[in-house]
Amino acid sequence: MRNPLTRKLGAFCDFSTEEKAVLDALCADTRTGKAGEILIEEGDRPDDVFLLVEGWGYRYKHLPDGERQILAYLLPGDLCDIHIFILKEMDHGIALLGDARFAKIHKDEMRSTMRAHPGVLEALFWATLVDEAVLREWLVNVGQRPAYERIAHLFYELWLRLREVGEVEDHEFTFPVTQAQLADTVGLTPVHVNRTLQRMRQEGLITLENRRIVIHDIAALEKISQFDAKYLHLDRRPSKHETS
Amino acid sequence: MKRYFFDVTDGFHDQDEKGVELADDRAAQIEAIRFAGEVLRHEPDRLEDGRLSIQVFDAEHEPLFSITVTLS
Repeated sequence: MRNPLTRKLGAFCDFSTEEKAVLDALCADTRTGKAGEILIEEGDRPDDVFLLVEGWGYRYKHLPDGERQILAYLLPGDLCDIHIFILKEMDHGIALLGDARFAKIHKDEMRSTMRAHPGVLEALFWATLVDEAVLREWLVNVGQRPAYERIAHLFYELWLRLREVGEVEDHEFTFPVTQAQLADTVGLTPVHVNRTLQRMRQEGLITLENRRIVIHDIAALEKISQFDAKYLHLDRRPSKHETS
Repeated sequence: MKRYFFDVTDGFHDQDEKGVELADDRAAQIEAIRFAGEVLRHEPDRLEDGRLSIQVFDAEHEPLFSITVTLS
């Protein structure tokens, strides 16, 4: 099952063969993009929904003085907002973090798929709720957690999310984020991010080199970040007695 | 862009081995002031010994300036 969308949404329901074929068709037409490429800018009125097949994207907002806040990382299987075609105008931008492959799904195709396949619609609805839950957790992270715990929490979350879509080898994954982008994600100065990463390395927690993270002590990372995975809703498949 | 190193000293000297690239000395100074503010906010116990200092060095490891906060 190479389709990361099926893999991701599969956590929310068990798809029929027909529904799987529909999801495969949605992701069939892909193109590649370079790191930094902007897919959608604030103010755009997009006709397409983007789906990341390989590589990462991010959601961002610029302030008039040039400062930037990164609001989300979009990982393989993540749709860049299923509701962007309902919005009149984009209230934020979406760009690629590293080189990536993505599918463009026209809004009409998206709409007809959602109407014809309630199972897919329900899974997309779940995925949107989880995106909101992740956003809430990021808000807690930026507002309340100290730098060290804040970055640890982000790494642990990414490890779990990437593992769900088969992008983790043991405790290692690609991390196409520069330190400046990481700083704009966690709301800290680049110096503080840099010093925190050095501390994590010295303590044998992680190594971040050549755009790759190796987590040496996953249990310690979980403990430091006091991670509670509830918000990721990693297994939402209804249990047998719920469906009967 | 030039590389700058930001050492932190409280009871312990925490040397910056990697450094960060910034536009110029002025940018490094602003960065140091903001960084000092973040350390105070995130790790207030680092001032428990009464003194926290951030020293900034250039790419040749020559000292440029420092920020010191004391508790008395």
